[in-house]
Amino acid sequence: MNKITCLYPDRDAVLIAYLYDDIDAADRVAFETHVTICQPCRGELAELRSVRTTLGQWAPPEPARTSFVNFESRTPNPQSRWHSIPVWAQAAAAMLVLGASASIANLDVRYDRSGLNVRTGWSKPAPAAPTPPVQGEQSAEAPWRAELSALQNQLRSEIRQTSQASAVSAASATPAGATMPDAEFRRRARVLLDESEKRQQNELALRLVQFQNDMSAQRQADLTKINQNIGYIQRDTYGELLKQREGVNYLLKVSQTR
Amino acid sequence: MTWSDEELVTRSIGGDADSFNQLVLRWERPIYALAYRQLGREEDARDVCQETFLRAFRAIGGFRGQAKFSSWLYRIALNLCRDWVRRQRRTPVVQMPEDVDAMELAAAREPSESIEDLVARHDLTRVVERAMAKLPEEQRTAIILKEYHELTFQEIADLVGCPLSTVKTRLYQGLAVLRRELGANNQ
Repeated sequence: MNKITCLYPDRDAVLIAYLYDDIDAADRVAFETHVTICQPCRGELAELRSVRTTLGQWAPPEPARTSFVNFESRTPNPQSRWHSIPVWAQAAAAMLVLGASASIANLDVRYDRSGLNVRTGWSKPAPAAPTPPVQGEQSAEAPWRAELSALQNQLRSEIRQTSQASAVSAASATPAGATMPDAEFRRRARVLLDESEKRQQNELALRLVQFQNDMSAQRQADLTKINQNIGYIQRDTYGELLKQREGVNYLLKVSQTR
Repeated sequence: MTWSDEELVTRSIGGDADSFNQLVLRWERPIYALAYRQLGREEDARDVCQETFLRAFRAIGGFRGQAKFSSWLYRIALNLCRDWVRRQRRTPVVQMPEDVDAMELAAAREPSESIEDLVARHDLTRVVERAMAKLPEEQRTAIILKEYHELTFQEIADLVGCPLSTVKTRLYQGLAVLRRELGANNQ
């Protein structure tokens, strides 16, 4: 690393602030002016920008899942829940609540020959004098029994109609429902297979290129080593030759002098 | 209509989970990226990301909005990363280059990217990860938050709980180390 000799006040902090453009306007202008005349700052700024460019290419791999969590509502919407309950069930529940409330409030409902009488209050009324059973009382209660049975029949028919309608809609939805998931499943399986195949091809190609690079680097290293060894051998051989030649020359000289 | 983070937080506090899901969708990638760059492993990053949102969901009622929602999330994620490294006794940030899956890169790359480019990018990623692994945790955190999440110096200072000048010093020192490491690798 180069030794920085710049004496700009608080230089490192200002340089970093300038590098990331997180700096006051006045400080920016001052440092910009300084950089034009300061070689060390200009050089370091360029190097740090280069580091940032390299860092910018570091991307984390895409997560396998598209989303990590899915939270359910903590307070379920009461309206939506009520919508899923049939009307007749809601009516029955309302009647049940009404009945329970009536029993608590000491509600007294009478429907007889004198008409509909409703009486509320916590104080129980004085018991009426027992009336002698009247002949044909059963027949006198017949009106409300008839109305009740009519209401019962109406409810039953409505329930039947509702269940038939839902059965029909379910039946009509069945063919599409039976085929769609399969088609969708096949489509998704095809997409997954295609992606998998593509990935495998990519991986194979990547490995091949890496293998080729490794082979090339190894070959280059081997060639260099061979060349070096040949050089050593040649040098040694040449040295030996020189020695032998010197020896022969020496012997020739010695033989000639004698 | 696009709600702001603050509006979605308010609705989440009121019990609207869909609003919180929107926050998750909006912030899961940045949080995952932060965790990945801190931990260096996709599986760990995913777990930390999930735990971050679970904790945020549980604690959203106590969020008073003194800081930005994203800063609050970052703080949770950074604490979890720190705990994760301590608990797992793993060396942070990829001193395990074999775990870097080239296939993930292949899947994420552009279709037009050639294999040579892919290999080059893969190598570059390994080089950067190795260099980042040599940084002390606080320098690495400062660089990640500034470089990849574009937080201001003040936001980083608030997030990690140190003076603003310290953040700048950490950034400068961290970048100096990276410059040396990356330069040495290029030679």
